[in-house]
Amino acid sequence: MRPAMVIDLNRCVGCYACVVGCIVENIARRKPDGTFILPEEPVRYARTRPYHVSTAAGEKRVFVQCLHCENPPCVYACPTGASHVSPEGVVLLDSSKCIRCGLCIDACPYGVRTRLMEGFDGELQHEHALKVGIPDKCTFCYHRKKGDGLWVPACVEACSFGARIFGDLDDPGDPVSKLVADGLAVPPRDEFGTRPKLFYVPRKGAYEMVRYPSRGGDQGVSFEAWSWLKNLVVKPLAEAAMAAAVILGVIHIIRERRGKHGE
Amino acid sequence: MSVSRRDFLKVVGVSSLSLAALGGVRVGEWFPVSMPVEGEWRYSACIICGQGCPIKIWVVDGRILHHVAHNFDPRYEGYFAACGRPRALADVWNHPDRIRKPMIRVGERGSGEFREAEWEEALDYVAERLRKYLDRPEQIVVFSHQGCEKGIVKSFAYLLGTPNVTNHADTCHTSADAGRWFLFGKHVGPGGMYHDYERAQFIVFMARNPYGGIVSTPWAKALSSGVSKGARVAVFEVRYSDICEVAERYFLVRPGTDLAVSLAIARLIVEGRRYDAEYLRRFTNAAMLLDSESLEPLATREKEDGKLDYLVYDEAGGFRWRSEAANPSLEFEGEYEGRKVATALTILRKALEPYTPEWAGEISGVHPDDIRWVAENLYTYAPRAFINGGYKAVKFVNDPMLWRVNALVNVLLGAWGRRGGVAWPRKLKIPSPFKAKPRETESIIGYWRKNGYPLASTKSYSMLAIKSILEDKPYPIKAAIISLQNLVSHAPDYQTIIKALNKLEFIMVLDVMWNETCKYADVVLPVPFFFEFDNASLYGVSKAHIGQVSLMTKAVDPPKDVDARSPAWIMYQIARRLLPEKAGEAEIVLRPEEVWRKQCEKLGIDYAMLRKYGTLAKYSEPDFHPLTSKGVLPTMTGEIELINLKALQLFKDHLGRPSNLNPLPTWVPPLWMGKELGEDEFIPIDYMHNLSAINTWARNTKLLIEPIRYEGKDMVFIHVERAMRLGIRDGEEVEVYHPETGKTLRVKVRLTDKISREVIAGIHGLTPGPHEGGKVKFTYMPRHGINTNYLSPFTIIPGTGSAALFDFRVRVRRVGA
Repeated sequence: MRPAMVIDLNRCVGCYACVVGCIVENIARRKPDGTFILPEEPVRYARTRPYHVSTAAGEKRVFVQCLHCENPPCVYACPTGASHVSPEGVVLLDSSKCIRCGLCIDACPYGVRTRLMEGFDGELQHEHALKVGIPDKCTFCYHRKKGDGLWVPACVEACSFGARIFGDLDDPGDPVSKLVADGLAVPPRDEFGTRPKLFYVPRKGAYEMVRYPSRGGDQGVSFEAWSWLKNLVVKPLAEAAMAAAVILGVIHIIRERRGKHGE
Repeated sequence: MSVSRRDFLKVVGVSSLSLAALGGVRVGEWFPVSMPVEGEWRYSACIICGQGCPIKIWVVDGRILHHVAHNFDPRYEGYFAACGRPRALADVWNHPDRIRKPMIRVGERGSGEFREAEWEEALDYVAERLRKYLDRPEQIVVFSHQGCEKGIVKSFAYLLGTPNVTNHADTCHTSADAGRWFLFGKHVGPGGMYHDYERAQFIVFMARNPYGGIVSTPWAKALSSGVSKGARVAVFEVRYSDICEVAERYFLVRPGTDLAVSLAIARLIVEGRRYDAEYLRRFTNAAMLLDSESLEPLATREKEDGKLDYLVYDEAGGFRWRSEAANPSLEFEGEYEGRKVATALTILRKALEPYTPEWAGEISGVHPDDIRWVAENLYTYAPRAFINGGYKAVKFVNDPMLWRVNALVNVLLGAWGRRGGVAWPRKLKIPSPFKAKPRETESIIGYWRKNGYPLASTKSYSMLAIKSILEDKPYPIKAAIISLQNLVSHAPDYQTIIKALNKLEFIMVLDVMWNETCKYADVVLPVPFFFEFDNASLYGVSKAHIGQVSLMTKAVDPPKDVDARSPAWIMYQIARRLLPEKAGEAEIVLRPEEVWRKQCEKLGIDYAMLRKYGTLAKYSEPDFHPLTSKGVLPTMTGEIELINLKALQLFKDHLGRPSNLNPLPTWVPPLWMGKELGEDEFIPIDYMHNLSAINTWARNTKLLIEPIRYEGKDMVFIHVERAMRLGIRDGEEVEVYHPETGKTLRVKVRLTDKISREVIAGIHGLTPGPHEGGKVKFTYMPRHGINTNYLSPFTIIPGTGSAALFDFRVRVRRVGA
């Protein structure tokens, strides 16, 4: 199973149900009686947020969030393994391993990670809810996963317009798979090589994905190449070097001991 | 419980098939469920705006409102779409500005000083105040607006004996309703039309933004579906609105001049003979012969059904009755018994002659070629092309004429009543839980319809009610019951509204949260949110074209310290105190389930099924027939009347005048036009946002305000070049004021080039204006937005009795200048 999401910009009317639904699910906290608590500027921390993109035809609104890349720069950048990929391919963050260095925030070419620095009261609603001081991102509502099947993220449930579709890329019969296979849904800024699992159906005749909000141009690196390099060259080399170091270390220890016995 | 998405799709697919096969009902578990916590769904319908989209609420531990999802009749999922607003219900539930106890005024009216009271005391107090009007109950006027229970409040008003019950729509859309009367012989409101966006190929929007408006998500959903199928969109607006995002082309129009564009489009269609001749022959009185000079119908006779037959020129053989003619001529001009005669369409063509695209371009600022482009697309794609019927239509004094001409264009295109065009919705009338009749006496609206406002709506006359209070016509009004209506914020000119309120001896307000009107009340009674009680009536989903009803059940209790009671309970308790002998029958409102069962029985709806799904539609599609499926309209001829015969009788003296009552289409200039705008003069406009609404719940809830703030839309927009000339910078605070009345608002401005140069525009009501104080507070409402009603004069359009909310000038100055 490879969960992925499609946002159909022709069907999106910009009603904010996804944003509000995400805040209710992942950002807000509650008092025991159910009273709602929000941080200052909650939309800044919503895991899907509106951006306005200027085109010749006027401003177009697009909702942006973590793209759950198959070559995730944030995971490559994380020194402790806090940013990691779940067995299903969902990019997650384990706050218990996070040292708050912020490298993942800088590494994301789409600039979608956020961090709330000031505390607010109330109980966390679930284990993947927003935590103060820890970089935050969309989890595809991983906490809603129960059993082996797919689940429904809060933003998808919130969208009454059918603009958000969640599905399985490994299942060729899945609507998401079909939209992607037919080329109707495209990944934003394909040239980054990050291989996102969030796809968009562009607005007819209006919206171009090259204008997708990002700061990728500054990174100057293709994550496809980086991923290839890492997986096919760096990782085997590093593993070989590690193994060699271990073997050499063992030999060294044995030789040391032998030397001692020799004395 | 956890059902995987695939299982869900399977179940929905199988269920739909079995439904189609059996024509009956057998649907399994169809909710897409993978909830983060255990709980259960409760059903309601969101009434934050007036739409009433079916929703379901996930409730944890039977007491915590976890989150809200879209609900639908499993057979017709395509239509309703709960938007972002109801998702914030968890945040409004324990809002700091909720009214927590019955409140009785202790300070001056307007001071906002109240003391808490127990229910018994408050109700006795109200009953005592109202008792003295029982011999002349028409002295009580009831303003009842939002709320699932509004029909019940009306029934209770009738029980008390007053016929004077009004809602707010005269400050919303009744100009357009009255305008369309000229074609269809009845008031046709926004809920009286269904736009078939899904099959349409070319759609023109004028002053309407279903993506960002209120009472609009069903339209937005159908439109987004149409757009994704390839429908093309063109927009005329005073600013770049959300709908412009999907438009192939959008045109900035000077405020209040859309009518000029519409007239030019109508002229291009008629002059170029691009109308649907067959349609006009079959369904309209286009071929009717009229005296060219007096416009008298040449000859008429009554048919069996009571409708008028009339003389036409039959191409197959001279002058004949319409009912007997084989091929009535649409454009005949000639003589009949010595009189010069012409067909209605010919007279219409002559009336439209002055309105060339060049003339319209001069007035509206839209290039004449662009008007031609729109007209060409309209008649090329007709009948799957239309001008959208609008919604808020009380903006300028010419709105009645604008929406009449737009409907006329749709008729000329043959799009009215056709697939891909504009259809008649199928409605359900929810029977009142109990029957009550007011005292036989002249009502306020009856009086005003005879005295200057013949086309005023009989349901919506809040401004005429204010006029009655001020002028003691037709009799002195002494008391007001205001249920979930915010007169001070929603009607124009708060000074006039407050003057009228202060003239009353007693005012009772029912609301959930403090609003601007509470400040001037004597008693304020707390009402629960709609998801906190079982509503004592089924809710007929507004603007449903397939006759849809929803159950509104209690999802959670109000917070512990909120002692709120439903409007039905409150009204019953008052009636019981005042008229114990009559109130008995109304007691049924205390037993909602019994009401639901009875209403289902009357409507022919399966109650068990309604309980199961929360919402059900009675029909599967709207009424695609130009004259409705009855085949007859309430006009004198029973047809769509291009020239209305009754109007020719009633409003003959308006012929040749720039009047909304002129039986012929004509240019009516907006009030603000005439002399050039001064350097610092603007036309103020306010509009809705995807997350705002007119009530304070939406304008004052953090989770709904924050996205607006995030995008900087809590400010007010003006054109960058005009701002520069006044030395105003982006983000600066300025004063907007009405020079004659001195009314002033402080607003923050944002500069843009995507706005008409004449306007200053922002989201409606993002300011409490001068109405905060004492207990009346608005914790999360921005303080720097605009509400045109806090600036405007009290303008009632003659004839239609509706408002012209934006048709005046304001001045803008830098703070301290």
